[in-house]
Amino acid sequence: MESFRTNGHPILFSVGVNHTTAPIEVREKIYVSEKEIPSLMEVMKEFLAECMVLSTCNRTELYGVPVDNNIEIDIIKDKLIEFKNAAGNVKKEHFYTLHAAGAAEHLFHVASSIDSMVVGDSQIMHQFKEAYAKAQELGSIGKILNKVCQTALHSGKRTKTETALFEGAVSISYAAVELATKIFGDLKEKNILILGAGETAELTAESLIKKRAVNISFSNRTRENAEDLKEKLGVETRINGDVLDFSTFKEHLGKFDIIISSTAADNFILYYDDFKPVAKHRTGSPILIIDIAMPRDIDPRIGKLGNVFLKDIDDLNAIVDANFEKRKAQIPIVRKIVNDEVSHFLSWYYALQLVPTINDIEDKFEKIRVDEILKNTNGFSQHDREVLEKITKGIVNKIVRSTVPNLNEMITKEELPVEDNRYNRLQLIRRLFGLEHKFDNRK
Amino acid sequence: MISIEILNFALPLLYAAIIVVYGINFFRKSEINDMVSGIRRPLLLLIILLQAVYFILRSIEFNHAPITSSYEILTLLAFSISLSYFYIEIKTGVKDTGFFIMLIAGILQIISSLYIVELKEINPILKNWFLGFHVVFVLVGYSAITISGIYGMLYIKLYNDIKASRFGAVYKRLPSLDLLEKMTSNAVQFGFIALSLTILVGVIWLPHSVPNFSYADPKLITTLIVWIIYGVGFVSNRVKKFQSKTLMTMAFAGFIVTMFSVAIVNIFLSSFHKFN
Repeated sequence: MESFRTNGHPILFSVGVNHTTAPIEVREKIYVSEKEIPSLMEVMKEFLAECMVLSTCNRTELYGVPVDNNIEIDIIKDKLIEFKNAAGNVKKEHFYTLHAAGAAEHLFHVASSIDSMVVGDSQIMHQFKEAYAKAQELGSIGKILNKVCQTALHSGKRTKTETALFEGAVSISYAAVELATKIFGDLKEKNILILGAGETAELTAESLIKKRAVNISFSNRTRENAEDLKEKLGVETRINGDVLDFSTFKEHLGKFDIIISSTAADNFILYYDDFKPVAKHRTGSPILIIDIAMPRDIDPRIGKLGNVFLKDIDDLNAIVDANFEKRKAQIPIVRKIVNDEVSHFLSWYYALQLVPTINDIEDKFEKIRVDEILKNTNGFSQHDREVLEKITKGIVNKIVRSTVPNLNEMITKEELPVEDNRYNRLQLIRRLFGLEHKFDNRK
Repeated sequence: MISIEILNFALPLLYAAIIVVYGINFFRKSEINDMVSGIRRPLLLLIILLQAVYFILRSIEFNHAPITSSYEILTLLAFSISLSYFYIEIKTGVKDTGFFIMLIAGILQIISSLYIVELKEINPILKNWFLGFHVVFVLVGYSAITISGIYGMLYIKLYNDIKASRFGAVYKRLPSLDLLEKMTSNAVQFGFIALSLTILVGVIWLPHSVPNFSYADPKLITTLIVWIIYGVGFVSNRVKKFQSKTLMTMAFAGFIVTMFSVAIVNIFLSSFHKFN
């Protein structure tokens, strides 16, 4: 059984299941919804002094500090599996476990979006902020989680402002919208037609709405599905467009600036001859047609018409691939930012860990002083004893104080990047001062 | 005098520097770009201020406005383009087109600095106050034509790249087609109005002031051709009868025609319109 490797001080840890440790069938079983978090926190209260739950479609992770360092980490995993009633699907082997610097570094990678399935997915920053706020609301954030979360958020902000990690679309639907904004700028005044009412149509419409598009019309072979989609999307945002009968949508093509097609039709739904008169009469800015159906919906010859941009999945994939490569090139820069921030956090974290060791050193010297005085002062007068007490206390204090800055320097300087350096140094200090037995006992 | 010489030497160097800085911004090598991005706008402002000082010093030293030779007009035009671009960058926040605009301004300044000399005799006509209006309108007109031409060219490049599904640096760095079109159209309108006023002032003033005035003068004819091109563009833009790409092509063509005609007329043809 794995327990917290510690010298008796509160230790940061992280356990969880994510896209690198488990497939989606496992992740979906262990997913903790927002409304489940308070109950889970109640369960964990017995074991954890501090706790935060980050649960998204790609990860369910617990960050925390145990109430007692003798607690076995597997208990946390067991309790989570039990809470989700997922014993049939989720095994302990699906979990990762990280301590101290490892846990902090992982959280910083998550907050900076380089641990995401899609590198540079800005949604994780929002999800992380929400998880932190929820834990604060439930009172499960203490000194250590607060510091690590604040520093991780700072790392995420720096990644956003100092790198291009979040630039460019990395999904087909967002690439389609990015292309539309590259042509039209603001989409607020543009008339958009979405053909089809499936998942792709919905994702694309959502991305368009995020870019301020409001004049969105829908058309689908099954009219009800188009109406449902419009209603669903219109819950949070006002949509000005219409639902057009699929049999008549061609009559309205002239009024649209952007047409996005993602139907499940077996053949083209829009042919060259259908669209030629529309293109001929269009003046001013071009018309954009995006065909994200498979098989394709739009006759590719339409793309040859003047003032018409026709783009299909391959074209959008080219945008996604280019952006993905660009994002990958940013990872070393992000890692450098994360390393800076992790070092900054670890200096604080190990300074916290050093305090009890300094107290132990003080206790040990004080014990030596008291023992030696008791052994050798039988014949001393009361006055001499008082003088000796004062002098020896002064000597011990000076010895301890003269070592503290050097100990601090050894443990907390930010240039030390690797956890084991600091941990081993702390261990070495304890051994040097003869405190190792205390360390062993506590372990 | 020494200050004028120093500035005449420094200005092309500063223009070269700003072209490099904007070039780094456009072709973006991220680490170098981070280093130079902070000096971009201050450097442009410094150039504009130094060039204004340069004109003031020339006017004081030679006792006339700096409009007596083609090379003085070129440096004024470089100044006018830089000033216009500075305004556009602040107003739109678009900085990725600076390389192309400043490249033209820089070339004009370099040519001017290489060949500029003070004329021994100043044609009295150059001291006519009417000429001041004429030159100001010309400068505004030609600056606007240059800017519209470059934005028109960038529009065509981006349009063709999107059409051919080339999603490289041009696609990523340039502003949207819509914004490029708006900036081109605004510049065309400015250019057309300024050119109209230039011609109007010229038509009122020149026949009475120049002994060998002729309506068949090559400079007048080319100016009229450019004015017609921009007039068509201006009207088309108003009535929305053309496709955007056609209008952008006209803006670029107008710029090329203007540059060639000005160069050809000034170098190869005789004209009453040469006062030096």
